[in-house]
Formats: sequence, C-alpha cells, structure tokens
Amino acid sequence: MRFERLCRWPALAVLAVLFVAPMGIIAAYSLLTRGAYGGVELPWTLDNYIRLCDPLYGAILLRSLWIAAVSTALCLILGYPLAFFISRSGRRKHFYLFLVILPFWSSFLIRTYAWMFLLRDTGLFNTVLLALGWIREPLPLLYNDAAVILGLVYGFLPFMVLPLFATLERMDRTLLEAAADLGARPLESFRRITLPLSFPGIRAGAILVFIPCLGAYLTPDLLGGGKSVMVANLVQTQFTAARDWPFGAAVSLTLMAIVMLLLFGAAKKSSEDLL
Amino acid sequence: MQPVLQLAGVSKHYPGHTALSGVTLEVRRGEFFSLVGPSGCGKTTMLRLIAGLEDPASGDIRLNGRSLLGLRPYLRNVSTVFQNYALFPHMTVAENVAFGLRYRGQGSDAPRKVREALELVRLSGKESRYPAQLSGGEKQRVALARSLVLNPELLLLDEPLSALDPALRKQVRAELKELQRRVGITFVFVTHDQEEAMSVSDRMAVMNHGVVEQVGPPAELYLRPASRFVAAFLGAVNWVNGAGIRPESTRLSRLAPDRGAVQASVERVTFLGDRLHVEARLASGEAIVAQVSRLDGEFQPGEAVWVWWRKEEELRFEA
Repeated sequence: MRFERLCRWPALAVLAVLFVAPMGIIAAYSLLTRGAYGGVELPWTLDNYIRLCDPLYGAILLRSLWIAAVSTALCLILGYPLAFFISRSGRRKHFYLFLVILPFWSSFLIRTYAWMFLLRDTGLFNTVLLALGWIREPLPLLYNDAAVILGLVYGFLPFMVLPLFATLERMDRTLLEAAADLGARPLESFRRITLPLSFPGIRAGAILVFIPCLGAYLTPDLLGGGKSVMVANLVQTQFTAARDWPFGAAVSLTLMAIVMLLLFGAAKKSSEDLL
Repeated sequence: MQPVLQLAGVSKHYPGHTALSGVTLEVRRGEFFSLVGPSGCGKTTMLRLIAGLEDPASGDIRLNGRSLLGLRPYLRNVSTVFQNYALFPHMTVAENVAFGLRYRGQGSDAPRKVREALELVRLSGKESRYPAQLSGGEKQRVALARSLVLNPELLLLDEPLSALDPALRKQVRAELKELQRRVGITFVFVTHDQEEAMSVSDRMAVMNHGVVEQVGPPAELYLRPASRFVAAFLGAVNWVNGAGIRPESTRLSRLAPDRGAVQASVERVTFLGDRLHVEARLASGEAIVAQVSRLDGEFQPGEAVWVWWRKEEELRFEA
C-alpha cells in the first residue's frame, strides 16, 4: 500500500474512537427513556424528538440562531475592514496578524470572565461612568443578550478576519489597476471587483463564526447569566439539573443536524464558485 | 499636427534605482509606437506613468496638449492591456468588455458596442465564457476588446504577447498590427523583443537604463543607429576598428576582391537552413560573424577567406 494511503489511518482511528463511537452512543440515548436518577432505560421511543416540537424549545433554537446570526454579521462588519486594512499594510501585516491571534494565547474562559469584571454593576465601565457623573445608577451591561453577543463577537472575530485576510491577500492587485484604468473610481472598484472576489472568504469566515456561535455554551452561561438560554445551555441543563439524558441527546443531535444542513448548503455554493 | 502624447523631461525614481531620467518623447496620432529595451530599462514604468498608475517625480505628460499630471487613472482617456491581461475572473467575457463603458459615458447601447468589439477581435460566440475557460490567445483578445470598446485616445499595451507561445506570437503580432490599422487608435506597445517591435511599429523608441537612446522608424534605427547600444540591441554587430558591420552585410569570398578586404580564417560554420552563420577570426584577432546565403558557397573550418563589406554599410559612432 502506498505511504500516502497509510497516512490517513491514525486520524481515522482517532476519529472512530473519539467521534463516531460517542456519536453512536448519543444517537442511541436519544431514542431511549430517561432513567429515574439520570442515565437511560428501555424501552426505545421517539418521545424525545416529539418533545422538541414544543414551542418552548423552538423558541430557544430560534434565539440561538438569531444570536449566532447577529454575532456573525457583527464579526463581518468589524472584520472585513480590519482584514482589508491588514492585507494592504505591506510588511507590517505579519505583526497585525500576530495581534489578531494574540488572544488565543490565553484561555477563552479567563477572557470571558474578564468581560464579566468589565461589564458588571461594579465593573470598570459602570464605575468610570458613575465617577464621571454621566449616569446615576449602574447600567445593566451584563446578563443580557447584548452581553452574550458582545462576548461571541469578541471571541470569534479572529475566525472571521483570518479567512477574509487570506482571500484579500491572494487577490491579484492588477485587477484593481485594470478597473481604475477602465474608469472605475476606488469605491466602484471595491464594489465590483474586491467585494465579489472576497465572497469565498466571507463564506468561510461566516461558517467558522456562525457554527461555534450557534453551539456556544460558555459565553451565554457566563455573560447571559442563565437568563439568556441558548441551545447548548439547554443540552447542559438536561444532562445535569434536569437529569434527562435522552432529551439532552436528542437536542444535541438536532443541533448537529441543523449545522450539517447549513454546512452542506455552503459547501455546495463553494463548489459552484470554483467554476 | 499636434502629437497625441508628449513626454517632457519625465523622471521616476524608486528607492535605490532610477527608472526613468529626463525622458522626452512624442507619439503621433494614429501611429503604432513601440517602447523597446532590455528588462529594467524603464519601458513598463513609462507605460504606468502614462496610464496614471504611478506618478512621475518630475516632468510633464501631455495628452492632446493637456497635462495629465495629478489626474487619477480613471480620469484619463487612455486604456491599458496588461501583461497578464488582468481579466476579471468573476465576470463573463461580455461583462469584462462592458466593464468600463458606463464610466466613460458610453453606457447607452452597451450591448451593441460589446458585440462589435468582440467581432473585431474575432471572439463572437464566447460572450458568456469565463476567463478561466479561455486560451491564452483568447484572453489577450478579451483584454484588447475591453480597452478598444472605450475608443481611447491611446491604447497602452504592456508586453501583451509575452504570455503566448512563440508560434502564436508571430501570428498575433501581425493581427495586432492589422487591428491597429483598422481602428486607427494610437497604440503604445511595450516589448523587450526587438524583432517584435520592428515588425509592428511605425516608429519605435529604444530605451536603456531609463533613457531613450533613439526614436525613429524601425529601418532607420536598424540601419543608422545613434549609439552602439541601439546597434547591438536591434541586431548582431561585428566590431572592427570601431566600426560596426551587421552579419548580413559581412561578405566572404575565397578570391581576393578588388576592393579593400581583410584576411580571416573560418572557425565554425552553422547551418541554419535558409542561411549559414560563418564565424571567422580576422588577422587582427577580432572575431566576426558573417551571415551568408547557402548559394555563396561552402566554407570549411580552418579555411582562409577574404572578408569585406561596403563602406556605406558600416555603422559609425562618435564615441
């Protein structure tokens, strides 16, 4: 057998043990009945999926989709100009890219806690604003959707910037010279050349931000304060406080199915782009 | 008649390198003008200055008598065919060709103009192809059509044939010349290939180290070069006693001719089909190459021959 073909086995083995097997277990759990003290029991049932049709859970799913979509849009709005700037900054671009990935050097958990210290009633922002006399009472900056979105945008912005940078960097600059030469002003060149040619980067960045945002657990838990429940928090509650493992398994499989559907749609579009 | 393009004392510097120093030049309306020289001589820089993609350090560039200084490229009625063609990959052939029309106030009747431009470059039927689906020659013609459709005062071509394979290149350059004659637009053509420049140009400028060495019709430059550089750049030269003789002007004979001739011994003979290259060494030690017809006889290495040429064929320079 060729060496190249042998190279796929370590990764396949790891995936089979650590990914496919747990997935199978979750799928099986989602079709079982909840045990009295957690765990699962027979008989097999579809009740867990039927329960998902309850508008309560639909609302949580919609909220999650909405929060993920807003976070992705904000990442794009903030990330595109940044990626554009970095791709045009010559030799300093390596330094700027370094700054973009610098936050990864510390734990996401710690950085999210840091936001709590900034946003809470006795946090930096409220303290300063109170001291300046601009407000009489602390602003409710923490434990709401805005705080969750802020945390998600903060956490996932680099995943938007990096693929955008890669496409913008790769773009042939003579195309912009040609556009100017043919009479297009800079804004028109951007609209008709740069922007359409960066769609693959926009799509990649949007996928890389939207999917982790949709499944975000830590950020809504800490910055949303339990009030702003997203799908992942629902899953966590089912496996802990509610002791309803089958339902938790059904919820997480449904979330995964939605993500897969979105990914397939995006992948199809990407392959069309290659033509 | 006023020249369509005038360059007066144009200079351009890059860090550690002078691309152009004090170039003065005129391009006449409707002519096929070439800028030719070795790589790094400043010819592409000159094209970019005319297009407005870069700004000169000093000097003036005038189009129809009006200075272009400070005008951004999108405000100049000139258009460029780029070396790599710079076709927009996400647009079809027709969309590429139509790109500039709306900015040049020619947006009305765009479909007809696009169709005519594509007919002109013989690309009818390929309107809905994408650049990635075209051959090199077709891409080059799309780039041409995209510029020609705007009917610019000046069409700038930056080595447009260099990306084509050699067999196609000769054919395309003849087509280019024919196209220029038909549309009557002034072409400024940059190339490093002197044969290409001579074959298409009405006039040409030979450049070296950021300076224009000589401007004129190809035959004049070839037969009466103003400098040793121009002489050597446009063709092979034998240097004998400070005078230059082209290989095709260098004659060989076995019998002593009645006029002044020098003796030489043949060192190598290369058969090139329609002609022979004979390398010989003169008694004075100088090596020469003679390009002779097969019908002039056969020469063998080691053979003693007489080398002669007509005085009026000599290229003479002051320095």
